[in-house]
Amino acid sequence: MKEKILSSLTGVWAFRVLILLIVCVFMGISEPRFLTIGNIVNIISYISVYGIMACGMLFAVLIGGLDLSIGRVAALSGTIACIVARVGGFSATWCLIGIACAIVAGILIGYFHGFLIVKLAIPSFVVTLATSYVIYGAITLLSGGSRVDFVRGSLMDTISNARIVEFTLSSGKPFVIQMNVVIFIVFAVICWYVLSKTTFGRRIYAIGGNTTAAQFVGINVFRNSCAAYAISSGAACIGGLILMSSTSYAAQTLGAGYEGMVLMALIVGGINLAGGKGTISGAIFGALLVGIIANICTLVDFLNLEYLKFFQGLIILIVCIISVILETRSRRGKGRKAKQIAEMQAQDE
Amino acid sequence: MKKKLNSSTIRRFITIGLVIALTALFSLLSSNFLSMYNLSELFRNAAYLGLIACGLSVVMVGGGIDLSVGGIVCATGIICVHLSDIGLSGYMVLILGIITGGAFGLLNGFIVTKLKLTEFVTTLASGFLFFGLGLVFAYRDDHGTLMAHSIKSNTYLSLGQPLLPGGFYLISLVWVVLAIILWVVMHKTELGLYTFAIGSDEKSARMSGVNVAKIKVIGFIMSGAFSGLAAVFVTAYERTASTSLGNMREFLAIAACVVGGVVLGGGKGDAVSAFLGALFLAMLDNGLRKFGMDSYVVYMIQGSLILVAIAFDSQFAKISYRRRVKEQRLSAQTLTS
Amino acid sequence: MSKEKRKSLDIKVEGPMKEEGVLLTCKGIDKSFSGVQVLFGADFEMNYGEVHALMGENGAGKSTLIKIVTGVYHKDAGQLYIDEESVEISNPIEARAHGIAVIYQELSLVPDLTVMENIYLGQELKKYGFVEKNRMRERTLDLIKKYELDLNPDATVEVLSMAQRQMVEVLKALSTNAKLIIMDEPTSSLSAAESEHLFRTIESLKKKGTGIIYVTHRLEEVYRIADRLTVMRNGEVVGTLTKAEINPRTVTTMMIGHEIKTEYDVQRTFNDDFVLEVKDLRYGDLLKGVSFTAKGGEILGIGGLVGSGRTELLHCIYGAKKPSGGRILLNGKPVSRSVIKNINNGFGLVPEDRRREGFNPLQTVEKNIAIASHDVIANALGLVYAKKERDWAEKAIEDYDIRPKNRKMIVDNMSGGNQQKVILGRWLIREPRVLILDEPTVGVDVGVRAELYRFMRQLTESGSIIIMVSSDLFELVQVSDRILVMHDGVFFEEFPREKATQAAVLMAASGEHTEEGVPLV
Repeated sequence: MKEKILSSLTGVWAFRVLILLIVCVFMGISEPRFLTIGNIVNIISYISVYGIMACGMLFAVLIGGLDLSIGRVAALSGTIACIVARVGGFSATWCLIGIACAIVAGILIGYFHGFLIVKLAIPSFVVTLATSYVIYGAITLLSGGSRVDFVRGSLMDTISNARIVEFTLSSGKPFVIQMNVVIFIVFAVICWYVLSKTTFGRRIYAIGGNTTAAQFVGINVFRNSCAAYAISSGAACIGGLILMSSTSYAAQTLGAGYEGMVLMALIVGGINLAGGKGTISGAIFGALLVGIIANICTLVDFLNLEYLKFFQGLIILIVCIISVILETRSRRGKGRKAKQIAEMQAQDE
Repeated sequence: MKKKLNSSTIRRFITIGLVIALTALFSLLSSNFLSMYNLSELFRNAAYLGLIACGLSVVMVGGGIDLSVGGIVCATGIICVHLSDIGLSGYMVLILGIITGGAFGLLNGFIVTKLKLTEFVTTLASGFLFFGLGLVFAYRDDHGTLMAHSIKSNTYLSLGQPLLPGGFYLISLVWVVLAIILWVVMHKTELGLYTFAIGSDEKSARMSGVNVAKIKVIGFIMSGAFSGLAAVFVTAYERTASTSLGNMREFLAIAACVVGGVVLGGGKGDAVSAFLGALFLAMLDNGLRKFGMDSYVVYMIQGSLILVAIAFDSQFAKISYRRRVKEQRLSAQTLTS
Repeated sequence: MSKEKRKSLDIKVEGPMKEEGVLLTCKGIDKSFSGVQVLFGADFEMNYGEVHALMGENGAGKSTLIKIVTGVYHKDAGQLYIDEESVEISNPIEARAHGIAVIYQELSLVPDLTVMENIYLGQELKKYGFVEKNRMRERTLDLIKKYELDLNPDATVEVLSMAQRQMVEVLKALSTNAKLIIMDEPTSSLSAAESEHLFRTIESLKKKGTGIIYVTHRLEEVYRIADRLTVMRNGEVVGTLTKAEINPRTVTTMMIGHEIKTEYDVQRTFNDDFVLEVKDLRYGDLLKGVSFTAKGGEILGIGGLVGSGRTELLHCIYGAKKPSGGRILLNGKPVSRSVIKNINNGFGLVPEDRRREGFNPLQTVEKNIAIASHDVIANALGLVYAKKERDWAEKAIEDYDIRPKNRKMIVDNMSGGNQQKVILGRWLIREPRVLILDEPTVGVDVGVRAELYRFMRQLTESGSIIIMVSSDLFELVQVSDRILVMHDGVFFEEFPREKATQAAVLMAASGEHTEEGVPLV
């Protein structure tokens, strides 16, 4: 039995690494620019927003929900941060206040989602789709429909563009790691720690695996679900701030369509949309793959970034179909086993 | 034993009331709200949304959801413009547009019933796919950037022209007629009854010998075909097919269905619900814009409406369940005494 | 097939012809599942216009016999006769063609459709592709009138009571001209008044000549409606009684057979310093003032039929449900209404349906055991100590012999007995003061059962209270120190261990006072 578990574990990792390798080698051959250091740094920077959002949405997905509002929440957070910071002329303090306001707003939205989904028993995708519409309106209300620029060189700029590690390679090319990558890594580590080392993480998995059973061991489903949705929205806010910082302005269209990309990342990362199953490493793997595909689309001339949407749909469908097929096959095996057990019990009687 | 109100019929009455109230309000506040021009514009917009919503209502009554309708409108619209470019007449394009939309729906139905993916994931993903397909087929210049491309076929363009000198478009007429036909289909044929049955209780329906997979596939085909039809009319009116076609339409269509009284989860509501919901949303949009309200207010109201409507359903179900239990207890007591 | 069905519907609705004589005969039916024989030459006979009750404990072979008659299973030997002609029924469709219909506990009605639409679902009357509602309504009305039922063909099923829904189900069967209707515990979800409704329906069917096989656990219903009663035990038909011969003593003896009871080996002592008191507890219609006192070291068994309010009682004590009245006291102090507080105060609950309510199928043994002990394995900030968690789980696996001995095993892939050990172990390792068990050994094989009983004894030796609900009479009588039997929302009789017998408990659960028990109402 132990070997079985071990092999299935290595199986997942072997599968992931294999896919990444295949994609990279294939791209490296067809597009020499792909495997340059500069481009790899570029990819990592590119996925930092997806990665943060994927880690956050993982919490919502683990309890069996979904958060389709993250794209709009990201836009909202950028807008709030800029508008608040503008009051104080983008001084460091006011920037921090703006950032804090944005994140608090995101968390409140998450709690509101949790209330509607758990207390009123409305399906999560409807709630988050509807609120994303409301949020879109709210952004326009706040910003008046135009983009909000921030002062270059202020703290807002730092969120994404500050250079943390910078040195010149022997080939003479610069190697830079920016703040956004650092935030992503720190956030991912925190999420991993929370999910795997705290009682809160245990409760999240328990609710997603079997809500009734979770209630019977004294878990407050409402409170913990709200927290999960709040983390999802909060992560979307952080992603939105990075996005705002790197594009150098806040606008209502920023982050549009990110919910689809993040969802794809999670599905590709092997996260069970029914809840209870999935890891941070899976989410990051998914974000990595999505980032690479997005990168490919921008690198290769004949492909347009817009094609991404096409691939997005195709990949989600294919991965889901494969996983459903695998699951039914294993369930069939389990069914056979259950039958054997039932027969053994019949013999006992 | 009198027929009791369920949440769907109550909501239908609320929507009718709201439509009347809005008409009264807007016509009082604005002299040209009831003008021929405005009404024909209103009905054109309502029909665009309403056609999609009517098709979607079939899937939703059957307990499913179709998030790909926006994508179907986009892809079908662009494909239709290509079809007219190769020399097909507008009527040919109309038929082929319906077939294309239906084929997209068939794909959804196939994935849901044969490959056993959930409706939500399937149509979310296929929605991306169809939008992407629209981009793949979109007209581009030599540098690969998107460009506007006008429809040349006159018969095609005529589909988007007003029927009467003062306005009134074919799409509105088609919408009203199809909504009535769909109502008849849902209430008077086996297909409709079976759709209600699987939306209400899939397992029981299956036990009673209903071919659940077939009904589901037909629902998706209807949803796709109606979206395709809407796409043909809209491209004809706009004289071109842009890649933003159908953007967020799935959300508005769900909103129309839900506001009109189609219960999420299935079993209640019909094409008339979708009709009323679409009319109401279009009226709200029309009126608010007329009074200089910005689009964001409309968005916020639409988003809130969907939440209010569904919260109403879930709370209504809870309350009526409790009331029913109480009533039964009372009747049981009178029986025993 | 569907054409054939429609043709049968086009005949004017008259229902089954009133016929005399034998409707169905089963002779010497044998059935085994992969080498294990579950039916031994079962004989069964029933007449037109007869209500024939079928009783037996779980696993006695009732449902196997029914499923052979309805074509779900294939018999190994024996012969079926309908109208005294030998027939072969190889699938449910053929059974329906022979006029046999089944009404399962779980009804197959669609809530949003009307009565008439439900009756004709899947076999609509059609003209030019349109459903003929008027013709369907007329026929439904004919049927309703003929059987004198209280139904409106245009009412939505959603608004009907459970008894009315059952009538619709009966009409559905009759619309296909069924002459034999099998009802599988039809009253399990009905109130007393609603059951009365159903009995009237059954009488009306009987008058028109329909035969009814009535599977039930409730003796009082058998008195009320049955013309004959067949009792099964361990795959054999023990005997058939006529109405005059039916009395509780005979029936329970036939069902239980010869009772073996192991004698007490140790003198059990109870601790008066630790008591759980429940006073006049009420919960909706299900609990109508329940009171009892359990002492430390005691295994208190609670018997009664499914649906008698036993599970709700447990949930109220545990804090998972809010009682509508009454008090629950532990050592004189009120018990909290919060599950997590109760757990920290030494409560534990093993729920009835372990798959739906008990464990998280996606997680490992380790996580499933540790989920109830976050106070032990984590600090105040909620940080889990991996080593403590591992040791905690490994201790439980070792102490309670959970197999395979692998804390990383996914619980879904384990056998039923070991899954139950995981859920029980989750609490036992905490040494709970009050352990509440709801059907602790359903689907657990005999060997593991004995182990579970041993663990329970061990726990009570340390002075804890165990409250156990069980439908398994043997288990109830063997394991409990005292048995309280529920009937109609109250405790009906109490049995001290020395006097408890399966037959007596069964009788009390059916609402018949016994010599052995102490009457409480």
